[in-house]
Amino acid sequence: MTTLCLVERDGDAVAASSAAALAFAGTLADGGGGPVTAVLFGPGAVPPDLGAAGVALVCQVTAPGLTGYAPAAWASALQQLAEARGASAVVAASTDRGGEVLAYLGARTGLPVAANCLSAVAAGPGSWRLVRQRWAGSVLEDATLEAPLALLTVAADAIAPGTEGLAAESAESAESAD
Amino acid sequence: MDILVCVKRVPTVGGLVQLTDDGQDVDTRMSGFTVSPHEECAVEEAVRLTERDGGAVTVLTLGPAAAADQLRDMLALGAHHGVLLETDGTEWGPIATAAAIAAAVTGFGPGAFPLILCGNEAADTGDFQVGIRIAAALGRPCVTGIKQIEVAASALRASREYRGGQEEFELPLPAVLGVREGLNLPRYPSLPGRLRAKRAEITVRRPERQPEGLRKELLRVPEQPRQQAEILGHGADAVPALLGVLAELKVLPRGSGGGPA
Repeated sequence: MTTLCLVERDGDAVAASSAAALAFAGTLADGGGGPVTAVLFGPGAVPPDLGAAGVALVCQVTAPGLTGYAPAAWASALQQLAEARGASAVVAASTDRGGEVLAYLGARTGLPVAANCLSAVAAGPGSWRLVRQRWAGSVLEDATLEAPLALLTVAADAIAPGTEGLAAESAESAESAD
Repeated sequence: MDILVCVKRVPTVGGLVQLTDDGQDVDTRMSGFTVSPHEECAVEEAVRLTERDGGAVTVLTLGPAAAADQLRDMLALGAHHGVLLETDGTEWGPIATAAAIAAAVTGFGPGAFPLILCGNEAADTGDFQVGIRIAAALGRPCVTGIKQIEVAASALRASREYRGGQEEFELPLPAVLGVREGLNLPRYPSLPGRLRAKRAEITVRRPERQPEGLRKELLRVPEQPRQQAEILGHGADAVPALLGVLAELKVLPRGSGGGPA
């Protein structure tokens, strides 16, 4: 059981929105979601600040032709990773790319995507209690998500990124099949 | 080219959203309904494309019978046809909505609507996924966040902003685009447009609802930080304190708060 977190880079560092998503993913891990696996796409150095963000494992997805942003291909790779690792949740920042990739993942899997989440608590196998934003944060929604794999985007102001955490234990490369 | 534009009826909300007593909906007793600015721009773009290249714009919404009002608003802007996927008014999530729209598109026959435009995300739920789910169901390519569109015979170019730069895409038709406010400046409806929209016939279909695993339990308004007003005084007695505040705000130079003249 693991929680996958899509990490977007800003230069050589983790994008601030992804740092918040990692911190959010860490709260799922504490609630039974398992250790956090950070997923990065494309070549380039793994940001050194991942280790301080509570990440247990880094998966850097590279494949010939997958050098730029490709939301459908990224979603496909996330789906394969989630299946291979028995993930309970896939988390991304509620950015243009994060939202788009998870929407593709939702469309591929037929699973719901809960957008703009502020918190998520496991309420049993495949069941989550969520708080998410509506109307750009003017309204909060208490919601229940029933899905074998929780797909969650994290509201921009959901959580302050953590500054301490587990050091990354290892890094590995996975090749996307398509 | 025939273009389908999907819009969503949403309450018109101001700064502070009021909810119904049961916490299930936005209280609309004192407000009206509209569509999101993204969708207004989508309709405007579709109308411009058909004015230039021919074809017709069909605007579609899923919602209660009253959502025909929003279709007529869009018809007044120049759309040619309206389709209402009528529901009982309860909220449908992105999976059920996209499935109903995809089924409706398929029902128009093969090759219907080479271009489908959606708003980038709904104004209320901000789910950011209906367009992508429609595209997946129909086997079409999709790009979201679009702020510029150029259509050729069998393909289109679309671009969007990303971190201060520009991302450009070429898509074969048929395709689905999620468009964003700023794509254009929507026109105001003309009087003839309003009259035509009032008389226009709306096609009504009643879709089947597909179940989905995300369920709304309760809506609530987050606590706002309370602002404490400080009474500086009454009448002329308040002037020294008022001058002090104005000096603090650098509206008046310090030392000018010596009291009334």
